[in-house]
Amino acid sequence: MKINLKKSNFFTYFILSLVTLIMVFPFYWMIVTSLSKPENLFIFPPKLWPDFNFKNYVDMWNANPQGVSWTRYILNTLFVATSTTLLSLFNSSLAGFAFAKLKFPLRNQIFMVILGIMMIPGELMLIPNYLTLFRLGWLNSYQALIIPFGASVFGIFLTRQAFRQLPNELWEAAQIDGCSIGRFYFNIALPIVRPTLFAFALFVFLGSWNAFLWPLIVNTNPNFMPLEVALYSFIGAEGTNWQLLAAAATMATFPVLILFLIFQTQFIEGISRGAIKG
Amino acid sequence: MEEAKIVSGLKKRRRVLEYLTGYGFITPALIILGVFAIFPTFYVFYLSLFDWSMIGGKTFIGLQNYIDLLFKPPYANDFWHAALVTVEYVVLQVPITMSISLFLATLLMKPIKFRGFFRLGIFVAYVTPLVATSIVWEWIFHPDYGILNSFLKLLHLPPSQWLIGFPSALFAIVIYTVWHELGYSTILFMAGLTSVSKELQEAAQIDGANARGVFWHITWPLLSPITFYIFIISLIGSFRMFTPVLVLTQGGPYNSTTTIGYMLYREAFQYWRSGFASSIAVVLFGIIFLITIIQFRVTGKKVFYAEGSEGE
Repeated sequence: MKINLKKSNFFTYFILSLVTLIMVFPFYWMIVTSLSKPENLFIFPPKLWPDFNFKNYVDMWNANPQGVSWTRYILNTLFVATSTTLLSLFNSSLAGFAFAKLKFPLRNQIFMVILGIMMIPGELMLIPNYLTLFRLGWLNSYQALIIPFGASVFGIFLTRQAFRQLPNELWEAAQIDGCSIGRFYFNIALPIVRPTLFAFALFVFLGSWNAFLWPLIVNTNPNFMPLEVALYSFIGAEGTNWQLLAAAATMATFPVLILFLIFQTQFIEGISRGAIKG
Repeated sequence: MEEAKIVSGLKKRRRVLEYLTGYGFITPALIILGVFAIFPTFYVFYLSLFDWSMIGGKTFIGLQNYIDLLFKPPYANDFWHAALVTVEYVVLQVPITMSISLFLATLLMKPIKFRGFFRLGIFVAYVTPLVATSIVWEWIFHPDYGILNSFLKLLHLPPSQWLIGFPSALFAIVIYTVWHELGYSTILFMAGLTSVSKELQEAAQIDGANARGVFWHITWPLLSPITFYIFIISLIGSFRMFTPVLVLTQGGPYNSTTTIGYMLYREAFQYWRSGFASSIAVVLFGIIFLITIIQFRVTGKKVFYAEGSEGE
């Protein structure tokens, strides 16, 4: 294949390459910094190539200003993100199925109320939710990070759309065969809408992994802290140690980058679909 | 007779069973949304009527929090200053993000090679954690050793104080958030451009319109719903902006980067003025609600709808 080097195309490639370079450069710079020798950080002009000084990662790993290891933070984040995803997936798809396929009084009214929640900014709920968790005795716990996100309006909306695509004949045939609603939902309906569930799961997982404000507020105990909040306290403790900070930032960013690289199509399509439908 | 009765009885039973299953299926989601979304929405209005510091007793003071927030110094000064910063931030960030992303989206719609690669490179920042990437940018913005000032030096331009200067700190935060959010609106614009009819564009070309003409007379009007949608979500996102402020500047220097969202956090969880912070939350909600209402009004009447974009 020949690359068409017309003038306008050259311009397109030039601009896109330049922008991509600028967008990706901070990640490159993060890695370079995380691998640089301390004496090479404060020089002019800056050294654009990494020193491959892996000792920074060892030092970062051993620096536990809060007395809790990074392993624990990583496991906290993984546990919270996985539980939130499973719980939200289950609750949201169950409700989505009921709103799409089952008849019951006030069904549409209840659905409208749920959709209305989308218009409320999360900030409005911060103080009352903090209070609720305080009264439940849930501050500084895993459930504080999981339960409030255990159902999602977006997820209910998304799965409802998907379940509506199922032909009613399928549901009727199953009923005639004596198939219960629960079995129909689990064994027939859920597997059919798997792509939607998967895209939704990705978003919940990513959102939970990257969550910051809520865990910052409800979690002051390092034992239950997710990575992002631990990183924030690490900034305070290691404020001038740029190579260690960069190493920690790289560690927190990499899992997300890998997840995104594997599932980029689902991410990007999920976003475009959400926009067009929403 | 008897048989008909039995059949209708069975039908009734089955219907009742379906009702019960329906309610059973929505109950778990309803409980969570009820406790953590619907209840707090009403409760925060109630809390905003009290003088209260989270611990200890509440004193009912009516609308005093709102009067303090909007009219009484020193609180009102803080609030209006934060409102001004938020508006400055919106006025800078939203047009920059939108124009660059629209431009990039039109380039990415051309039949070019490595399209997936470019799209990936532009989008990837959006999925990365805010605190982690803020750390990198803090280092990039470092006044003495940051790579941005080194670059300016190479070009024989004067260096900037960036995050510790005024008004440069606001610009620095705008640069960071444009970097983080750019990919998202680019993807949305690409989705919008895909739905713009190819035939119309080609017909205009055949009639002798140049590329610029096609864009301004065909593509841009057809793109208006998605443009407006992106504008609204960027606007709302800007009003709520919090994490980059906390990590990069803590609202400083001289409160020059304290947005309404950050002020809310500080009042609620650093100064523990819960009643007062609740009134900020309500005002923030009012602003966002107003924007949403305007969106409904506008999209309901004026904006051209692309085919299939109405949802159901």
